[in-house]
Amino acid sequence: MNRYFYYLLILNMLVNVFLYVPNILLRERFEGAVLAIPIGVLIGTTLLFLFTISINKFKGVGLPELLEATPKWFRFIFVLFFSGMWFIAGAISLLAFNNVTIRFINPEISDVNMITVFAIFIVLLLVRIPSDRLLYTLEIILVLNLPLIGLVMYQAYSHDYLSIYSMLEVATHYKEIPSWSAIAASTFVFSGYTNLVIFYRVFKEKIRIRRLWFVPIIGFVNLVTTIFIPIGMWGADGIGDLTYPWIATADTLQIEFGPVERVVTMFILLYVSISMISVAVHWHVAFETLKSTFHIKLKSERIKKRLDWIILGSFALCVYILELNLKQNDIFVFGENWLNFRLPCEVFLVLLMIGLSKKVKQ
Amino acid sequence: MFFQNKAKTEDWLMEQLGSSSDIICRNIKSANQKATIIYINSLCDEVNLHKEVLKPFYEASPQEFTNYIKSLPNAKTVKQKEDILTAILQGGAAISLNGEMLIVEFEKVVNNNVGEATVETVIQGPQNALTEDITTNLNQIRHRYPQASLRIKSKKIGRQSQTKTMILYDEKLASPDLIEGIEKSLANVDIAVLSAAGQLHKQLTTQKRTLFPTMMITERPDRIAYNLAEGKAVIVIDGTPFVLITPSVFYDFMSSMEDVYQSFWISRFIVLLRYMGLAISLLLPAFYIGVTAYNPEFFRVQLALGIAGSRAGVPYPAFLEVLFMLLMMELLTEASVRLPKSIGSTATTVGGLILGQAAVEAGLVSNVMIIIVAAVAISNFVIPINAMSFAMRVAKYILLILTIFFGMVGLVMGVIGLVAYLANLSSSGQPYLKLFFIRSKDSK
Repeated sequence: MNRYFYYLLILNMLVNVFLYVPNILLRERFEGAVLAIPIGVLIGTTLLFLFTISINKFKGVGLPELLEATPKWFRFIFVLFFSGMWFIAGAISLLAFNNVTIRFINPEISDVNMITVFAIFIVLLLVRIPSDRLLYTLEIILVLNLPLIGLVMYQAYSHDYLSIYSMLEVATHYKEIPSWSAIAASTFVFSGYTNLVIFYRVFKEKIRIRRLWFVPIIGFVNLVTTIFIPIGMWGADGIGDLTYPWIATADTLQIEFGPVERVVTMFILLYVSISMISVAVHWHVAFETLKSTFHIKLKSERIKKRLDWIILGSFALCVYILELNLKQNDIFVFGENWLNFRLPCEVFLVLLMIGLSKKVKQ
Repeated sequence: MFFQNKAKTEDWLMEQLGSSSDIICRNIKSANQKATIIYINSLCDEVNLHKEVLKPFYEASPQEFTNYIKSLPNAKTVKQKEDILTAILQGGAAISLNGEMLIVEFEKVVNNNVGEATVETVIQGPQNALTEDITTNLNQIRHRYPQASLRIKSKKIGRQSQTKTMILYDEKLASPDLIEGIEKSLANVDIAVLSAAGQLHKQLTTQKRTLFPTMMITERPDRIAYNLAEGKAVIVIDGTPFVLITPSVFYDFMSSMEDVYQSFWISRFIVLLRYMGLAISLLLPAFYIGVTAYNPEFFRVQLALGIAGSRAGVPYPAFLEVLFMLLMMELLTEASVRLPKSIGSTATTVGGLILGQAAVEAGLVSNVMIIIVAAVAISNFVIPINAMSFAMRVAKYILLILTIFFGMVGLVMGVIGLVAYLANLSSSGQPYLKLFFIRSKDSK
């Protein structure tokens, strides 16, 4: 089961494109985004290792079970708050990729209708599927998508017009002190491990910490690719004008000897499928956390089932209301604020996990 | 008192069986003993009955004869009247001897000719399939799997058909939980007449409405032996040449015995081909709609124009064209399955060649559509297990409908949904679809 941990990590690394990580970093390309990358790698991997080592003390339990050792009021507030955070994580990627879909793939459909379809689909997916089966699905979807994403990336890297001078121009601003937003955005790439709070339940063996040496390297490469490829394509100044830097970058590509004319359609479809799975994973964590808190008292199966539908239905409803009220730019601001707020929450979660690993004996 | 009872049993039996011409009730008498034999001559092997019962009856003394009958391997003493009746209906002969009812089984089996496998064929491998008789089938399986640890548990299923059903498994390899689970679910089966493996499969699944097969249906003894060696359980049913194998995962339905018999790269190639066939038959119609109606910029301009050009004469949207052609194709497939073999080829010629060409010329569908339908039909047949190929035929329409309404995004959604649905299924407790299954070493 160890490999599923890598998938959770890779998922977050891929989905950052839709979670406004490139937008934030590229906005601050002259004001510390470059230094934010190594700092982000450092903080991200430290948190990741601390968390993984702490949770490795246990076997086959999730955070809700470990929280039994804490006072009731704390547990209640914590669970509500954190499932909210996870829900918003999913909601933002849903809002963002919905926005991209209606701009670039399906301009005929209205945004509200499209997001309703997405939300209903994900709710229907989640209401039945247990954690381990969701991981199997994630694995298959990733394995189907990754080669094609690799192809797009190869096309981008080997592009004739990729300007190394533009990249160097931005890279020379490495001395600037990064802003909080930039650091928060770059640490997001590593935060796939937080999903373990639920998925660790189905991990049959402990995670081998030593095998995680490649995570900082991949994360670093990922972050560098995320900001420097668009810069290389559009120039150090030109990139500032784009709303969706990565989609515009993908739109510059063409596979010369392949059948695909516009890589951007393929790129968006790949990312939509990855984002959809990512939303499912995030919402699954939120859903399971809420479920494990409320289900303890309930005996009847029918009421439990009904509660599941109520939770997931309210997820869908929240997204619907958000979509009705947020404009494109509002989603970006919302996403950025969430990213900024997420970093201290993540630190808190890791500290809590360390505390629990010291206190709770299995 | 005793004799009265015996007479009553015989009368009751005759009353139950009624006056059919194939029911034989004969009183036989020799110098020093007498007996009554009741049997049905269409079910009972009369030659053996003569040899093993009637001849000794006239040759042996009463005591010797009773002992002789009781010591026959196919004889049993039955107390209940109803059980005697069932035994007679399954080809036994009831012999009433000195007030005792004995049953000797002389089941006559007509349909035990071993024939060639017709549903799952391989080129160079064992050619024979199972038969419709359970004993012959057991004989074939035992021959291919000569292990002392092979266990056979028998059970009768069907309120009225009382079909003999057997669970086969290797005690050393199969997990006891699996066998217990199967026995439990077999005990819950409530059905009047059981005559096919698929029917039992439907009864054994916990969900009422399913699309994908979660138990393998096969007619090949070599596949059975192969699966027994992997620790799986086999359910053999009397009267059908097909058995059920459980647990079976998604990959099993995509594998043919040919994969085991061919050399490494060839079998990898065939398997790859099969998955490509699966992808084509599932995705191509939906993809066509997505590309023509929603995202024509996806492919090269020349191709987009080519498709648009060939659709120029078609007066309605792409999805109607696809639905129309697919419906025709499904009708054709269904017709050629149900038709007698001699007419079958006519149907395919008329349907496939003439209708396809005429539909294009009449401007009802585009040329590209004909190619797509043909590709879909052909690649669907690449899936080796029939039940799976049927399931995929249906799944294709779900993807198609999603694409019709939501474009390429709908197709992506459909694929994720399908994968998640398959991953969520279980076969006897085993997850149905995950990327890597850990297999036993010698199966590779």
